[in-house]
Amino acid sequence: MMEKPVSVTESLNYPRPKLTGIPKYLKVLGRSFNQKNSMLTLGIIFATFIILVAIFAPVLEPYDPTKMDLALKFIPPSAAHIFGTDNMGRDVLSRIIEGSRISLSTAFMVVIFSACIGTLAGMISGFWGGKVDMIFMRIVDVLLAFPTIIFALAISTVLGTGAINLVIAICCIQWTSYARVSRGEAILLKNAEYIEAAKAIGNNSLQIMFKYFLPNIVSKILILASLNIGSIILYCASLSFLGLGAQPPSPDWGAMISDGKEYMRYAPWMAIFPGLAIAASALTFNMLGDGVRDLLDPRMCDSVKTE
Amino acid sequence: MQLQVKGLSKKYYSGFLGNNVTDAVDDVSFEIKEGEIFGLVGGSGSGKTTVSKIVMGLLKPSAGGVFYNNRDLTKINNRQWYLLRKEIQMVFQHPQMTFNPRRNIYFACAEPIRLYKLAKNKTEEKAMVEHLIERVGLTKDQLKKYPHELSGGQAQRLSITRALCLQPKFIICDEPTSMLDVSVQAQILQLLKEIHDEFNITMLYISHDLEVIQSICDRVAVMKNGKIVEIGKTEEIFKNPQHHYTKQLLESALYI
Amino acid sequence: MSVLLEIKDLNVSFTVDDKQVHILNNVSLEINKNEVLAVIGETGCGKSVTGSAILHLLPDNAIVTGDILFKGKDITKMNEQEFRQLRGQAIASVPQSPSTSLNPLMHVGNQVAECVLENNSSEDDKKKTVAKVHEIFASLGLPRGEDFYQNYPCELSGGMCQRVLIAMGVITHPELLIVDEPTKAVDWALRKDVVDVFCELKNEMKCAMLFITHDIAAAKYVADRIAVMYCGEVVEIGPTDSVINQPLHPYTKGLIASMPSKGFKVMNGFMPSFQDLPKGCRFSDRCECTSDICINNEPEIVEIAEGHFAKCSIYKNLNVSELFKHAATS
Repeated sequence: MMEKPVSVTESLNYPRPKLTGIPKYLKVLGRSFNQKNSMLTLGIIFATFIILVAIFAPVLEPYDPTKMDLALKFIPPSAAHIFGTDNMGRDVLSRIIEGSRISLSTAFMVVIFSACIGTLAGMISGFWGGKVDMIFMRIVDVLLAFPTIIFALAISTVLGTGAINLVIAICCIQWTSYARVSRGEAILLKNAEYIEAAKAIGNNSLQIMFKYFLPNIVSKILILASLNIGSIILYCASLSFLGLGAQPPSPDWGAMISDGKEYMRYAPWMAIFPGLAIAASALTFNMLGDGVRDLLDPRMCDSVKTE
Repeated sequence: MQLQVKGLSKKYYSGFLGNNVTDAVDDVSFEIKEGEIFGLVGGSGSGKTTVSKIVMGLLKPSAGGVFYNNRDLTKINNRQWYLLRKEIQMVFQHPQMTFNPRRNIYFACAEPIRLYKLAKNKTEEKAMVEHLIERVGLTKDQLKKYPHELSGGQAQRLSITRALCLQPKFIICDEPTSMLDVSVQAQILQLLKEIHDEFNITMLYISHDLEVIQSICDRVAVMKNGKIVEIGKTEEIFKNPQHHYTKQLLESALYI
Repeated sequence: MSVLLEIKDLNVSFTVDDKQVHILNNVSLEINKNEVLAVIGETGCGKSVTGSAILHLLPDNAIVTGDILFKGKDITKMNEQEFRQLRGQAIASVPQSPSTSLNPLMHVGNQVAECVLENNSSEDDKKKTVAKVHEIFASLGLPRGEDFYQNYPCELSGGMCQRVLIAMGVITHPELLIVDEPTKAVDWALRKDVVDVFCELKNEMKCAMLFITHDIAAAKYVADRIAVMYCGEVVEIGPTDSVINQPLHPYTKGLIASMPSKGFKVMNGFMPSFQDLPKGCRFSDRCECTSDICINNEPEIVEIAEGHFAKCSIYKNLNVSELFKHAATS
């Protein structure tokens, strides 16, 4: 929602609502439901649903996702098998539910690792500047010059296939965007008067970085991370479609589409339902990301809406 | 001599290959005696803030030295600086921007106490903070607030509290009242005078406002384009300015 | 002297978080033709709100009651369409911060000319306007000629930007100029220049001004009359000389005494927040001569000397001769 210009009222020393630390987010979250931040509301509802499904996968699966029964292969969607069965006679619904665990855990791992590495690197290079900054930023430039998928393919080929290697491969590229953002923030903060004041009362560099920079950068990183999850889910799926992710028999959405493409003509449900799952989860997390951005960065939201 | 500044210069390089040199501060020397309030006056861009930052160790000078009790502050390492910060403190220009916007006032006041482990435990820390905050005229319930909730005058008092926490012997005030209203300015000046008399603190007071300088400083130096053009006792400079820039500054005063 | 702008019992409140906060309380001011009225007061006393209210520039959550009569017509009742005819033409303003109020990507000359030119102006009009801009630049002490006209704001110093803004304000020959804190962002030497420009403006352009400032010395140089505001109220209003040399309201006295050149005598306490104002006189909790009347009753504004009003209970029970004696001795 457009914030009303409050400059006049601000100048008059109102006790404004306390908007600091974690309670701030909770408070604003509460308000967002009133203010029709529908993007966020929907995003939260769907994301919670997907995460709950992933957590309670073993309970929710109607069949064992890895149990093969060739007698039951290629059953079209029916009451017994809502999403049908695949070429090995495994229940597609159960495999999708089980696959959500793999997809989500890879995506979250990628985001967490790359956010940590990127934030740290960006903060260090922004804080120290000079040579350190130059070295870090040249590395970032080089990495950004590669298309993500091609680079991840190259890394996976070197490290071998597997879920962990997939995470490493995507992290190698993804940390750069976090580094860029946190470096920019760090440079802005470096010149803030309260950082100088903090130095003047005797904080050393490390204390400044962790006590002052990190809390101020975190909200920006949070926005980026929540926007990023959706696209990471897509990257993971496309890499595992190419056979670089989790190995059979563990059910991975990308790999399931890859399996299903051969039987597209007479068993289209094998590829369609995992595809829908990917689309739905990517959409959900994108919505969540947009919502979080509007929430934490009202300026950005305004500019998007006036465009 | 508590503080001596000798031949201080700070050059900034810009342009292609750094061949454009700007002298932010050019061969500045002055001395401050113990217990004195020394004023530094000049227009914007005259390099007075740069001098304060070099003295405070926040910038490295291109040449020259700053001697505090005959120790060259520009040549000591971080560890020694950490110990010296107890003695040299600073009050900044923009009061509300001197504090981390995400932490409350209590944290801001307690931070120096924690950094130098002055209090044995939480209760002692709390007592120290409360004692100081009442000394500068704020109330205990303001400790729970956040910096943006304070008015400029309150924030500047807080800034002074924080400087006083460490019982410094030397305070640098970088335009502490330029953002404040006259009535609040009077309160802050009064407070600075009181702490100066009470704790015998030496002060370097930087301002562009000649009226303020005239009313609180013992000696004064006039800066223009990074150079000191005139230095002397406040009364003498205000009565009998020698340099034409000082005269010009005095002429542009608006008397009431 | 005829009255140009008359503000009668102006009340402004803001709705914040479903609560109403009363900012301006019965502000009444008058500006005569060719007269400069300075409104002085501290940050957050409502002086800028007064200026914005005249210009219809208050945010949407403001509730305005009372009358603002400009040449007899009530401008609070006008709709945007009608008011646009006035704003920029008969009533102009000079905004607060010179560095951020100019478009950084436009020649300063064009920015000034834009104030007069319409979209469909003919070439002839444009030439005339450009000539006029040059003229105004020259009269404000800016260099005449193409070179200056084609500068970008970033190429100018703060004082020059301020003058460009003034040029934008006066090019339409307004009858009333509202100036908001012109000396706030400028340093010592420039402050004198800015004040000089306004003095010249007052003498040459002959336009009336509402000079909003916290700088008492600047107000003294520019203004004919001074209104002192505290907590959204006009507490004292009168001719410049008598307000500065014989202040009547305790707040004005305190304000002047706290000037560094007057020995910075400290006033007690802070300005209260608008949400918990004292019940009676708004200055009662800081005043040196508070009595029971001050705490319980809102004082009335009383004329103490000719044209010199103060809103304080001390003067309530004095009769006229005592009042004049009081004014003379204080």
